[in-house]
Amino acid sequence: MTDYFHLFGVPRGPALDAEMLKEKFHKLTAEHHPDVAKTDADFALINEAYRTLSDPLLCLRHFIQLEFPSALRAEQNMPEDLVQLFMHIATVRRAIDAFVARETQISSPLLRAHLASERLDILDQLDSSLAFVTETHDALFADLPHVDWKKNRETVAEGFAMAHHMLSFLSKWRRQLMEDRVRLQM
Amino acid sequence: MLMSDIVGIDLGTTNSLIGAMEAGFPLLLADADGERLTPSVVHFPANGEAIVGRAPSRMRALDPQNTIASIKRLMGTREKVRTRAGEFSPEQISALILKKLKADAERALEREVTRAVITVPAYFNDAQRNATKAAGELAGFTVERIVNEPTAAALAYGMDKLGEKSKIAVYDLGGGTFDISILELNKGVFQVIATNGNTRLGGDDIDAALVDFLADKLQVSDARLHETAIAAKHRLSAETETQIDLPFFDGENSLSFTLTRAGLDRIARPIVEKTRAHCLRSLADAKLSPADLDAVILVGGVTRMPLVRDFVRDLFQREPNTSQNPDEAVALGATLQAGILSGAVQNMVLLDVTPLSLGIETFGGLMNVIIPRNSTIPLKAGEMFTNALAGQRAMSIKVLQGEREMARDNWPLGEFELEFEPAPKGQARVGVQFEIDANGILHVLARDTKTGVEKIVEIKSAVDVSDEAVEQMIAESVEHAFDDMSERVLTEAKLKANEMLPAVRDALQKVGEDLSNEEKSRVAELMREVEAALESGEVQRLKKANAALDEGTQHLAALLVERAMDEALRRKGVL
Repeated sequence: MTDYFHLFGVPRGPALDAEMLKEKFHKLTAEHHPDVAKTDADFALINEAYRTLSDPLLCLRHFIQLEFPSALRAEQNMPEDLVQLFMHIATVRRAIDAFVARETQISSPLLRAHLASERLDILDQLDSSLAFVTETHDALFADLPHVDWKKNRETVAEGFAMAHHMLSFLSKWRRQLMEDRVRLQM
Repeated sequence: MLMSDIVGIDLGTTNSLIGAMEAGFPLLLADADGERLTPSVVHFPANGEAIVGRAPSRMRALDPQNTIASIKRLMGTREKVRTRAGEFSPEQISALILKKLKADAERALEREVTRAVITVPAYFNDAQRNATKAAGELAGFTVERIVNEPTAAALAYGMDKLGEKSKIAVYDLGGGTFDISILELNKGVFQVIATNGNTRLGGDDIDAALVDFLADKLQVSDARLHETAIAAKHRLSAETETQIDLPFFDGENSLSFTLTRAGLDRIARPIVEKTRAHCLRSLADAKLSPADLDAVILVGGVTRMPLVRDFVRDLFQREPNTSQNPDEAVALGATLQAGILSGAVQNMVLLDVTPLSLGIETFGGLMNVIIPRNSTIPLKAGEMFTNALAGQRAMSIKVLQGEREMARDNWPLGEFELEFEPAPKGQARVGVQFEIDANGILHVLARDTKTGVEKIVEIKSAVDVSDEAVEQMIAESVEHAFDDMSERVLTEAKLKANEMLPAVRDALQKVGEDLSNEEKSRVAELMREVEAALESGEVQRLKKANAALDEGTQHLAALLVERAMDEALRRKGVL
């Protein structure tokens, strides 16, 4: 596996600064993009490295794979802490699905307008769920850079694997809710 | 002649342009008449060769059978156009336009031109990009790059702002296509973050709706109506009302009609509204809100309409940037990209994305995404395939582009055969590499992991093989043609009318006081017509009355939505 941290010349870690990373990427682009390159570097690889490092979840995963290769298990079960949140989000999303399905049946602007206040109510519910998911997600990420992962490696590995597991759910829900938000606004 | 000479071409639905770098600056080249804009229209006269540009544009009304316009809409399909000179593919017609541009450029530059950068709508799929490239080659060009139109426009916008860092959106509504792209500009790197669009949405649709409206209003089907309507549309970008005259349309009588800008807006709004969903989706994909943007650039002739400017202002909550000439920005950007490739332009580089997700069909007819939309190109992605049965020698793989879950709802790019060495179940392994190059065009490479043998896989283009699909579509449209006669349509129209009438009464009660008396009596009149049509039981009459009531109550609907939002804010204590 290519070490993307090394490729980008950034210190290996569970989370990176997005702005710093973008600067690096744009610098590498100006040097190695096939349109302008005087080098024959594999630009598709640089691209893939940026895609990985700039996505917090993929970056964490890449870090764990490099540093603690045995820590990532193929876990299927949802972390217990998230079960309640999942039930709540599922309820909100079902309501959105039902509303959108009902609304797409209606072609006339006036009949749709009669649904306006119901739409706003659902949007409110969605926004508060999205805010909560985002907050939980961001709080988990905010802790990562402060972990001293060079000591107590076994406990730390366990902790990173758990964080990755939870974040994969939270990221997915956030993406779904954002997608629902777009659907509701159309 | 310089070996490095590359021209930039905007091959548009309505107009095309060509440019070249001169002394470090992009310059658009004029034809023999001194015009930079070449109408993308081809006419086949009774005698002699096909002609392209302004002259054939005037032939549209006189000889529509042999005059081809908006060919770009057919790119990437296997449809042919029939003329007195025979049948032509969309690539062949496009090549005629490109040849004319090539000749104009060679005359203007006084040297041969053989290499080109050609623009396409960002939302063009693989088949449409390949068709454009093929058209360029037919015209005698080496196509150095296919570049996305909104991205090209961003280059033109950003060429004199290379020191800056900013985030911009390019709203590109042209004659036949719509694109929205969101970019980040950083010291000469132009990185596209997200793009979205519709390759069958543009000014042509507004023209068609306007012609329908006028034909209905004036009860004429005059061939000149099209030209007259477009001219009126253009005038209404500057004026608030205009006169439409059809002198001696039937040899004797003349017609005159006043079209107001508000009237045109009513016709065009549903079409412009269709761009909203694409804008919202691209913002969501870029994880940005309108406030994060530094500018929204307008490109494409349709963005001259005040309606479109108002729409963009509302949606993005800012004054749109009209610094670019909406007809020329894309061609200038194509020329700049040509300069980047030739080395004439330094310190600029473009990082574009693939607009559509790429995937393969899995068992059960689902689409398995291999490369998600908005991935930066050029890129490579691998996928491993194994034999499902012992001794299986081959496997057929269908490649798709699109965002839908079911494979059949996406655009089929084609399929290829993978060959396996004989082996027990699950033991034969072939790695397949999907590569999307800087043109946004797909290449597939298969590698047998055991033997290490690599080979480039030929994809049989779906455009060439799916006769059945085309026939199916034709069959369906024939089927729908009989729909109007069926009982079901009458039942549906009745249901709709019975739902609408009380809803309109309810709305009038709630927000009716905000309507003018004129509007109120117009709505009442439309309701009476629906009631009368219900009584008569005539399908067509009822459908028409329903549609008229839908259209006539748009303002009422907007008022209702406003009222609901005010109430929601009041509940929250904001108001």
